[in-house]
Amino acid sequence: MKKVLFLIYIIVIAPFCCRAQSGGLFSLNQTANGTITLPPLQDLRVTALNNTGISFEGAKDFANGKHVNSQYQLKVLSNIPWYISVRASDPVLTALTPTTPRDIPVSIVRLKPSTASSYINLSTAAQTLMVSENNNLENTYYIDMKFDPSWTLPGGSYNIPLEFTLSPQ
Amino acid sequence: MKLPFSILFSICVLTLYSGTSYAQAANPDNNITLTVNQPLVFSYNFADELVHDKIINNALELKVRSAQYNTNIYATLSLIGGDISQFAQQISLRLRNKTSISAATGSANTDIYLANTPVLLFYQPRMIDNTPYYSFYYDVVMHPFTYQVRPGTYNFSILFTMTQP
Repeated sequence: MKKVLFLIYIIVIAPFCCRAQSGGLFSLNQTANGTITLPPLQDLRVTALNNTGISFEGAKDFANGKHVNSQYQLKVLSNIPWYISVRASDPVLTALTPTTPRDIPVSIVRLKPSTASSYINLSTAAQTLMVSENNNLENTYYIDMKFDPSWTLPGGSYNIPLEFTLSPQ
Repeated sequence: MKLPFSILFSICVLTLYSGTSYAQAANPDNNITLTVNQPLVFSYNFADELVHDKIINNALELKVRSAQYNTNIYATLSLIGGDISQFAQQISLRLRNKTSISAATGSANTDIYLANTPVLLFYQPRMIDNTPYYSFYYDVVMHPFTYQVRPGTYNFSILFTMTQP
């Protein structure tokens, strides 16, 4: 009988005592549950850093092409891999003055990220300008431009119909 | 070897005595109650939200009664079905208000970042007045995400634990 009582103690009671001792003198719990819903999200902010316009100031600009560093700032915010494409929304530069005799094709405009070495020629077809290359949620890039007009193109003031698009890879 | 019953009985009594604290867990003089005032639901609709704090104000109320013992209150974060490591420094509790003047809570509006190991929220000395309980009100703050947190739906829980120091 004594052995039976002792066995009952060992099997039933002792584990509870040990459990209490391992958690300190007492331990009380309460729990709150929550949810996070995180969809794929992307945002692109384009800022023209030079708002005064781009001027051709001499024959050299025509002969060698006009370089403009960091013409645009692109701020990318994305929680998924991404790429940015660029296209012209119109095949020609938009003349701002009615006396301008004819339009200039957008192909004289070339762009590249400031960290890249080669330009792409602007066209109405979307071209990949850059792809995500790190695991940062936010990235800031600068876009260089180059203009290669021929001597035969007419003078005047023009708008560049640029369109940047941020897309998931 | 056969142990006398008296020795066995003594062992039982001693063990039971040392385990009396287990019975004290249900002691009405020391307890903790949690009230969720606002659902802990964090939804994101715009990318810009990813880089700013999202705050659920006054989300939780902890009612602490420590009439018998000094107590420590801890919080532990767990992610249900996910990798908790990607949520390091992601969720914090921000003390908004309290009715206890004796609790060692640190500065108000200071974020206490939750982790998968218990983090001390505050120390509450044994109550010396006749107040039935002290209330501690917390905002739950979701901090800016990193790229490492992949899109998806995550369920988490915050476990509050009251122990004797």
